[in-house]
Amino acid sequence: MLARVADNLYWMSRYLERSDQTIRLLGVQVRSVTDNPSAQVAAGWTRLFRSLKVVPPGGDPLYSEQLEDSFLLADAYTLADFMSFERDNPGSMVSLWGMSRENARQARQEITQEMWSQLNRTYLSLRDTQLHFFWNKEPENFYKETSAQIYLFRGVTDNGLRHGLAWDFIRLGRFMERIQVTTEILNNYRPALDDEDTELDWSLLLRSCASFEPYCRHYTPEIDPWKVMTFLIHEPESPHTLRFAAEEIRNGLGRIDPAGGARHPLQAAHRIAGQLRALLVYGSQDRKDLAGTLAEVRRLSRGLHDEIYRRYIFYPADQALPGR
Amino acid sequence: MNHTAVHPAAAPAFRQYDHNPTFYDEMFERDGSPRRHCADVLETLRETPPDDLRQIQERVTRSFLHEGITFTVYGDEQTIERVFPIDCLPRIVRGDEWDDVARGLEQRLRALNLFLHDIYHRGHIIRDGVIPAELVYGNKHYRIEMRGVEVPHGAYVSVCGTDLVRTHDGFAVLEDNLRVPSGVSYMLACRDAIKRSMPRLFRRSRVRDVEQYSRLLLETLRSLAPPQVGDPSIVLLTPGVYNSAYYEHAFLARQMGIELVEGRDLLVHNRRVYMRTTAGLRQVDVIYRRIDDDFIDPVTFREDSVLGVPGLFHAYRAGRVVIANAPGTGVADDKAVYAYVPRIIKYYLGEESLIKPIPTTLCREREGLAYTLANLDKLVVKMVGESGGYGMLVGPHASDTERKEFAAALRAKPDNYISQPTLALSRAPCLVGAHIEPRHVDLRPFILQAERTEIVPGGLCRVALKKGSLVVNSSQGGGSKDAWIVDVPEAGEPAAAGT
Repeated sequence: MLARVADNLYWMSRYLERSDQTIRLLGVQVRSVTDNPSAQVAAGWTRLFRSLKVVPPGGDPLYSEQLEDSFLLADAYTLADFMSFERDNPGSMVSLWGMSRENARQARQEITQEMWSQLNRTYLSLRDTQLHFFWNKEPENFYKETSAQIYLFRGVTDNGLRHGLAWDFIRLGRFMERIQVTTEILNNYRPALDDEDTELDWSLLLRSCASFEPYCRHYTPEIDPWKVMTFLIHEPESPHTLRFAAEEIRNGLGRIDPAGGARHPLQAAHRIAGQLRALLVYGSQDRKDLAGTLAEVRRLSRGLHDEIYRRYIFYPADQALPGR
Repeated sequence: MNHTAVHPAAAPAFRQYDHNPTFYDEMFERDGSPRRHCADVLETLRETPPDDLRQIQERVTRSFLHEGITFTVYGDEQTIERVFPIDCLPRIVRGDEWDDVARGLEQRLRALNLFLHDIYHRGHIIRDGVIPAELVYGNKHYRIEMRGVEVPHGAYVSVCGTDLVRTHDGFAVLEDNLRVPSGVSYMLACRDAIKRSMPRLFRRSRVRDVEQYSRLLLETLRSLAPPQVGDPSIVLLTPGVYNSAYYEHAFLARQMGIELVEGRDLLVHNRRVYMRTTAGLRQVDVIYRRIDDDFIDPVTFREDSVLGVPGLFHAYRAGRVVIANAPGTGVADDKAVYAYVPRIIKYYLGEESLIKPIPTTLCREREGLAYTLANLDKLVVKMVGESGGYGMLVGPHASDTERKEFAAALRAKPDNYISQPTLALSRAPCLVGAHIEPRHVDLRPFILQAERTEIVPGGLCRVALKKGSLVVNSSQGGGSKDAWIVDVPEAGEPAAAGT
């Protein structure tokens, strides 16, 4: 497959995953308005912007001390609109779909008609939607339905596309994005673990990571903050945990480049993927190591992205001449 | 002018059909009775409420939008993706008429390929005084770099799209597109959409298949590969996603299962061409290029181009890679050279042109200029080297001022213009709102030539959707419809189906 097209597929998938995360966080936030005190709602908005690394209209929560208060005054409608339909915000849902679609368009020969059609149709309908169409009626349902379009896209992908290189890069993009965004979300909930004054509905975190039901099956619907945290990091079988993503990334790289998986010396990308997985499988699950673990996941996943690029996308041409 | 009402047997949808025998009508005889090979379709249209037709049209348009069968219009504020308007009523051509046309197209392309070989080698045709040297060597599309280059099977043009029009006198060639002809994906998309929307009618109508086009194109490209290469690696070279024909490039690449590459995906090393894959560099043997000559290789052709591949032309000259169509084919589809095509056919093949030429006056000749200026209100004047309906005057439709301005331009640079009589382009029924009205149409069949010549029975049928307009280009408000080549059963065939 063309290196440029692998790049396009990787980003098509990353943008879509980011959009999925954004939609889910928005859905959770919109829901939290109905049954949480306003201080929690405001803190929720702050976490949302920080997790997605988006600067909200009016200020940067990373650098402003007073900002958490100012969200008390900020209008949920404005914030939701900014994150959903604002074209000038590259992190808004519609911008993310647009970028995913542009990437798909440039990789058109590698994806199926059904995949393109699903992506394109949803984008066109989002493009023509405005927040006030549904805000006063059932905002949460809108986000749920848009999420469902992403699941549909993934279903079409898994059932229609050959599980070859293209599929591998799409999957790689999805889990690379997932591990990075999820790490940020967890990082933004972490301070609340030690702060006993804060009343926080930890089910919101589970819902933000599409893991409420898996958690309840694993434990009970009784939500314990620490259990929630370790579940989302180390649980091996739920598709939205860090460990699950790390396993997927490592296996995916093994499929893309089988020689690198078994032979010596290992490719840098494979080595980092292995370290990432080892950290989440065998690493410390002590409370005092939590911050360190999350920081390490962040560092390794960024390094991994760079190595994937160095190895498969922007390699120097003189080292890659075939012996034909 | 004798306007007669359409045959009373026609449907209510035809009530506003302005049948005008001045123009050849694709569905009706001069007297308004349906042509025999269209009777079946007409019968169906009679039974279908116009509302149903409109719904079909809307469904097709929507599916085109969802599938991304669009072209991009760049505006000031934002770019708009538009669906190429499609008309769901097929244009029907009788099989035996088509066979004659196909023979003529094959002959024409064979002669033009021989012509291209000649002018890039010894230039016999010029020495023998059949065509003036300055029309060839002075042509801006003549590529001096192509001199002496040997092209596989002599197929300089392996993919050709020829624009045909029809009058009461039969089919005529309006122009040849020998560089990077486009539109074939619309032919295939239209067919696909019509098959889905009118399955029963389609089945009944014995329409010849066009679906094999992509397979034939792939075979053609394969046969161009250097003989020592066992399983050639073939790519389609596109200018990229911002090109208005990008949909077509992606479509064809997918249909043929070949890589769709941009200039930045390719590199030349030691006069070999490679593409950058995730598993390193892979050699490329055949490039089906959909970018213009100028942008193929910035080293050879245009320094300021960022689209091409530096060194590509050297690899091509060295025979390490094949580029289709070959660079420099634009000489042969020049509007001034067009006038010489019958003579070109005669010169190389010793045959008369099977398809009638349109009498063409060269304004570069003094009498030609005088004649054109004196008859500006009757002629179509075209600028040499322009396409897409730009730089063109349709005399009878122009205002006095437009004609005056054009005459001044003509006098200033007569070499740049040719003129032709205004043709009574044929018309075909089209759905306009809730009614069926006649609109002018043309037809662009696609001819593949390498070892063999292949022509799929059909083509892109373009429609001038604006009432009375003769300009079918998509940039000027044109649309398209499916062209059906139908075989009428032998029994009951009217004797002497001559045209």
